[in-house]
Amino acid sequence: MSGRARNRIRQFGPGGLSRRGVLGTVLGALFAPRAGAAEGPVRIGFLGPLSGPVAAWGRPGLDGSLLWAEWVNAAGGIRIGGVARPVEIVAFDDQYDPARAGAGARRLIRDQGVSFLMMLGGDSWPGVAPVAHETGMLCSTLLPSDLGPDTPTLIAPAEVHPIYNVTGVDWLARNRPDLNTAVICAQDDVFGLPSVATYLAAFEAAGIEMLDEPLLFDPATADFAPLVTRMLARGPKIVCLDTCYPGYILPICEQLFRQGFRGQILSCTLDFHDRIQAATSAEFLEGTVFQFPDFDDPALNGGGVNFPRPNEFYAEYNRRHPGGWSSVSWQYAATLDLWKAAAESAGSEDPGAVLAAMKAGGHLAHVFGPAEWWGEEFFGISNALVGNWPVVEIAGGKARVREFVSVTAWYDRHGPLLIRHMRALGQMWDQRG
Amino acid sequence: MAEVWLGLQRRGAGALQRGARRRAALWFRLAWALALTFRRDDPRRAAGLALLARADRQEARAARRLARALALWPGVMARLEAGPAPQTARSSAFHLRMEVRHRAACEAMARREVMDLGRRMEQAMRSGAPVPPPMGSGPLAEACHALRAAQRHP
Repeated sequence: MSGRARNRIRQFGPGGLSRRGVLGTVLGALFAPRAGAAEGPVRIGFLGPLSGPVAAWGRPGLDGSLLWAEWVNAAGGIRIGGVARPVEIVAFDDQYDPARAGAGARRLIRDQGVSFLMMLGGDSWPGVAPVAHETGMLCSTLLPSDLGPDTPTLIAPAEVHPIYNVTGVDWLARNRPDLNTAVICAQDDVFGLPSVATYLAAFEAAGIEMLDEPLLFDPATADFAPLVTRMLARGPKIVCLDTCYPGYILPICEQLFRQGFRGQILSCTLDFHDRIQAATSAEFLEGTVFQFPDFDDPALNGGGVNFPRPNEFYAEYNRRHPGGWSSVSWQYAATLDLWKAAAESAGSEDPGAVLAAMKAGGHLAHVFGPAEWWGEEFFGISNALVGNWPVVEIAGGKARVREFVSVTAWYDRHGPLLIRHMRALGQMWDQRG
Repeated sequence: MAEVWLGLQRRGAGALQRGARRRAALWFRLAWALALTFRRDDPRRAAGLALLARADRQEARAARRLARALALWPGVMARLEAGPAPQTARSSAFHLRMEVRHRAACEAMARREVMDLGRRMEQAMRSGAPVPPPMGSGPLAEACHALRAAQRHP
């Protein structure tokens, strides 16, 4: 890390707030410069797990954010109201604990004067929600299920799972129309169902016949042979692995390979696909369709992708943190890019002004292309940024983007179908409780 | 340090490919000197010793080195079994929620994968059997990369 970058980072936690810290928080609230001060660096808060059992969902996000900030500062900073200012990422380790996240949010907002608070979301959001409500702070989450009618300053600008899964089915229907039958499996819990509902709607929209009910397996399953035997019994042309946890994908693929399946595999993710290929064969995995590109894919450098030099970003990240890349490495950076564009457009870092600029016209450039604010029916609020999403295929052993497909265009045609399947599985926001 | 170690191993593997065993042995020996600073149950130590054995032109000494490498491996497996499970999910942030809800199941899956990788690496050292790509980063991943590099350049 360069000295310049180091000067732009502050990090707190994991030790929690001491008495001195609490006093500092109170005094900070009274005397610290408020967000929107027109001098010094622009501060952005990073609130995520940097230690503890889910640190792998925080640390790579902070590393990506720091790299983004370093590049922005090297290019002159953020230009707000005609003044170029450096950006500073201020991190707090919430250990994915709601109480710690709430304290961290207060500290970042009151003591550090951050103008924007990026979160992982999930279990930590209930701790932050009262602080966001009280301060009007603009917050972002990577988990859109945090959104609700009472979260007007919370946005989900990166990954709106599972709606983008419709793009893989849509692409298959247009490019491989002979694939007209499918089966799907998922783990049997509340997390498997939204994705199942999405795939069922997408298959129905595409005229692909489901040969069996969704096969739901116990999350503790270790032997997937019986499940795969059942899936293959009716000779499906497509086997859909839903948004199964990656730990399940490998053994299911191994079983599909051993039991002779050579048809189309469709999955939300295909993490460590090189390991899956090593456990099966290159021929077996060839043509598998999923939804997450590798960031060394040349297709990401094309027009319409709104991410700063994605291939270079990926290479530099891997140089600094070998083997550490994950989706959060780019998702926070993409969020920062959206915020920067909106703040520059608003000519202000004030959270309300930036949110208004983001929402102006209802459209914004998402990381993978044009997008719009969406989600009224699913979250009770249109604060999820949804647009194009990549359809990725294994080709020659590599993950390659085949097309950026518009989720919203699909939804315009088939929205009621998706709502029907979601409601049937109790997955609409007003059913989740 | 880790990058230097892996860089030396890769140079050694490249030399092996070209049939330059003496040069390969030189690179592997340098890596071995570095590996002496690692713990005895660090997989890089055993993997490096096994690779040094492959480049050794004296059969008896090569056999002794391989035997020492294999003798170190049970300690590596014990460390893998007791250590933190590796991260197996890296695409959808949505998977975080599954990890939190099904922590025991997810850890068990990751543990199975890493132990399987450990067993395959032992086979790779013993007989040159193919070893799959590793997950993530750390000493095991680096040792695995080193073994794979040597396999690509037999």
